[in-house]
Amino acid sequence: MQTVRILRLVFLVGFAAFSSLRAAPADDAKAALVGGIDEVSAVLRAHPSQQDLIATLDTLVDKHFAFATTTRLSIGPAWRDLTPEQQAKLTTLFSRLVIRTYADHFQSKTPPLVTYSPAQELRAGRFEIPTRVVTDDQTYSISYRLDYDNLSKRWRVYDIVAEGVSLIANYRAQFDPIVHKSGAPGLIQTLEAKLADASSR
Amino acid sequence: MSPRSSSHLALLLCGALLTAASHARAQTGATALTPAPAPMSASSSSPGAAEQADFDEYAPLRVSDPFEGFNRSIFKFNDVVYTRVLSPAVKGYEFVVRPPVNRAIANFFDNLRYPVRLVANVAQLKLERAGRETGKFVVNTVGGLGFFRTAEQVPALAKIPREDIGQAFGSWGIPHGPYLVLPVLGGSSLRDLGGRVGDTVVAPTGWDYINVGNREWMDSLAWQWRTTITVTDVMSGLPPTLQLYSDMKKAAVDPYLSVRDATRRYRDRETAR
Repeated sequence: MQTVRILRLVFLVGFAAFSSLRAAPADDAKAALVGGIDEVSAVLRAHPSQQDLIATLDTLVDKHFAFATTTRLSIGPAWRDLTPEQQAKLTTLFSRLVIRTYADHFQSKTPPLVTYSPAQELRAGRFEIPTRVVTDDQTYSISYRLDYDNLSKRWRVYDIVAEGVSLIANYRAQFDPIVHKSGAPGLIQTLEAKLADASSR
Repeated sequence: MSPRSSSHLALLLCGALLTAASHARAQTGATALTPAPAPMSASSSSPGAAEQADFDEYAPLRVSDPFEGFNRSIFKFNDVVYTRVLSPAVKGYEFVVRPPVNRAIANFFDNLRYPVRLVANVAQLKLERAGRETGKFVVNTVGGLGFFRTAEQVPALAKIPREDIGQAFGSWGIPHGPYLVLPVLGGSSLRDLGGRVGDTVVAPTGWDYINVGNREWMDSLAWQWRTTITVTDVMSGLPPTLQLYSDMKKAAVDPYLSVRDATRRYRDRETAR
């Protein structure tokens, strides 16, 4: 009888340890997202100038956003045929475009109120965290997708899905015809023109 | 009693019955708002296969767009209308009608569109949701005179997925058909255009179009009033839509394709809920 009790205890402790191990990455991913959004909100609350906001977002994005993954998936299979220089160039241009857009959107706005749902595992090392974002009396459902970066040992956002529309999928729909027609040089040229246009406004 | 008011009464009775019928169901069936699980990628462990699975997951939607050239010219026309006509008009409107007041007006027209949501839910046999919509309509009308979203305080009546007739068509398995850019209204599809026509006919602001019963009520309104109602209805909903369009345009390298992808994904998600 005693043995059975001990065995049961060992089993329970083992199970608890196992389940806490399994829950850990989901919690870590969520903590990373909450931390990142809190940092961005703190920046927005200070109402910086657009220049300052872009500069601050640049460093924050490096820390919390996996832009290399975002760019690779936005370009699709053609990515494999690009030179490392082209890949790096496209990643830089694309991240500047996205940061600028977000800076434009959030400038002079109060940070939105975010409520988080539990993380859902997409596959090993990838999680999706659904959130509800309330801003200016509008409520949006926005999911963040994160993966684990072995280099920086951090969970980083690689895709944002707003009301069912994925950032990556939306850019892929736009990039595909350009890449098909004029390859990586064409896409680099298009992004450079877009950025020049956006900065002239 | 005039035929028109009797048809209103029938609608109200129908709604009341649905509320009662669905009440019991609502006890057990809380509507799940969990998003659809993302497709699992290939089980193969090789990095190449995992990468390919990633690429496949984000493959562009196949959107039938046989009228792309024509659609793009309407898109350009709409861009001018949005930026040169509607944006200044909305700024003027917002100057006169302050945002909190506008929210109340938008709520009022949204509440008025209850028949659209009721018909769309019933057409999809989503009776429990139809009941909740009816409850929401009653609470918002009685408790907030239509101007305030009082029903959001009631957990069972908050966050009801929106339904319209285009979504009902989608749930019946009717495909989108070709992508269409409608003048001013923007991206749609042949199916959703049909749905929109249905919505317009079913909504009280559009009862002018159907010949049910006695039209004294509508006819007694001077055309100025009818125009004011329509314009206010449209204007009150515009500010967030125009903001979204301007954000998308700033972010996009090809705004036409960006809006097309977003419109289709958004509609499909709404239809699936």
